Amino acid sequence: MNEFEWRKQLRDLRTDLEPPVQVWTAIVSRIERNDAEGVTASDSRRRRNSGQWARPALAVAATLVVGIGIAITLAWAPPSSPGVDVAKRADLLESTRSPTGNADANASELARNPVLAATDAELRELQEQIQRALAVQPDSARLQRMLSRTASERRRLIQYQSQLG
Amino acid sequence: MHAAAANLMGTPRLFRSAPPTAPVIATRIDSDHAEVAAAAGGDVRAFEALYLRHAARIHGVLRRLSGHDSARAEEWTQEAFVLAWQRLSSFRGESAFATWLHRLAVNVALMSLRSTRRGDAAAVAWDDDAVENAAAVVMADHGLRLDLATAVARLPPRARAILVLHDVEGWKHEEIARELGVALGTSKAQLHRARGLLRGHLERES
Repeated sequence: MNEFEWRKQLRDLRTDLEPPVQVWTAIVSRIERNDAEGVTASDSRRRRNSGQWARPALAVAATLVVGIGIAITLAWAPPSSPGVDVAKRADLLESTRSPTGNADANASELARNPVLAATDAELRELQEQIQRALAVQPDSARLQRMLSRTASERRRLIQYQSQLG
Repeated sequence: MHAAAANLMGTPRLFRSAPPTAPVIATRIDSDHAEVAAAAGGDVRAFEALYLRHAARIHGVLRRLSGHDSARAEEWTQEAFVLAWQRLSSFRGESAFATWLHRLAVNVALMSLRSTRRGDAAAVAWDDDAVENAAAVVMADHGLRLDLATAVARLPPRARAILVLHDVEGWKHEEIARELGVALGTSKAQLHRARGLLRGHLERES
C-alpha cells in the first residue's frame, strides 16, 4: 500500500456512529438529577469564575508570604541562633492562632518597630484572606498549608522582635 | 419533541461523514445558535435537538479513541453531553458549537485515558475478539479493510489517540499537543511511533 492509499484508508475510518438510545436516557437522567441537586449551568459557571480569581489571588498571597519570610530572614537574622524557649514558643503559637489571645501584647511589641509592624499587618491581612478562602473551600490542603506558613512567618516576626529587644 | 429533533429521528444508524455544502453548514450553525441559546436557558428539548444532530459524530470519534470499546465510548459520550449541558452558558460562540463540542468530547476521552493509564493498566488490556467484532460492525457498510480498523484499535491508548486525532480526524500537531499537555515534538514523535506500530500490525496480519 503506498502512502496515498494508506492516508486515504485512514481518513475513511472517519465515520459517524449513532449511540444506543439508552445513552440519551442516561444523559437526561443525570441532567435532571443535577438540577434536583441544584447543580445548574449557572452554578457551575459561578464556581468556575470564583476559581478563576481565587487561583491568581492565592498565587500572589503565596509569593508575598515567601517573599516576606526571606526579607525577615535577611534583614533581621541574628548573628548566632539562640535557642528559643519551648514554653515561649508554645505561647507564641497560641497567640498567633487565637484572634483575641495575646494579639494586643504582640501588636504593642511589634509597634516599636514600624517596619516589623507593617510586615505583621500584611501577614495578618493575608491570614484573613486565606481564612476567607478556607471558609469557601474548607478541605483545601493548599490553603491549609498556606495558613500554617503565614502563621509560622508571624511567629518568626515576633521572635525576631523579642531578640532585638 | 422539537421539530428539528423529530426530523432527525430518521437518521440512519450508521453513515459516513460527507463533506457538507456551504448552505448546509450555514443552516446548521444558525440552527445550533438558536438551540444553544435555548438549552443554555434550561430547555432540555433544545438540548435534545443538539444531541440528535451531533451525537453520531461525537460517538464515532469516541468509539475510535476507545479502540471500539463500546461500553467505554457510551460512557464518554454520556459524560461529554452532560458536561456540555453544564457548560453551555460559558459557550461564547467564538467557534462553531460542533467544534466546541468535539473538542470537549475528545478532552473527556483523553482525561479518562490518562487516569486509566495511571490507575488500572489491566483496564486497557484488549479482548481481541471484542475488538474485531466491534470493528466489523463499524466497517461492514463501508467496504473498508477490516484489518486497518482492527489494527488501529489494537494500538496502545496514547499512540492510538494521537493517530486517530491526526490521521483520521485531521487535527494539527499544535492542537493535539495542547490537548494532551505534551510538547509539539512529543506529539510528532508519538505519531511516528504509532504509524510504525500500525504498519507492523498490518504486515504481521498480511
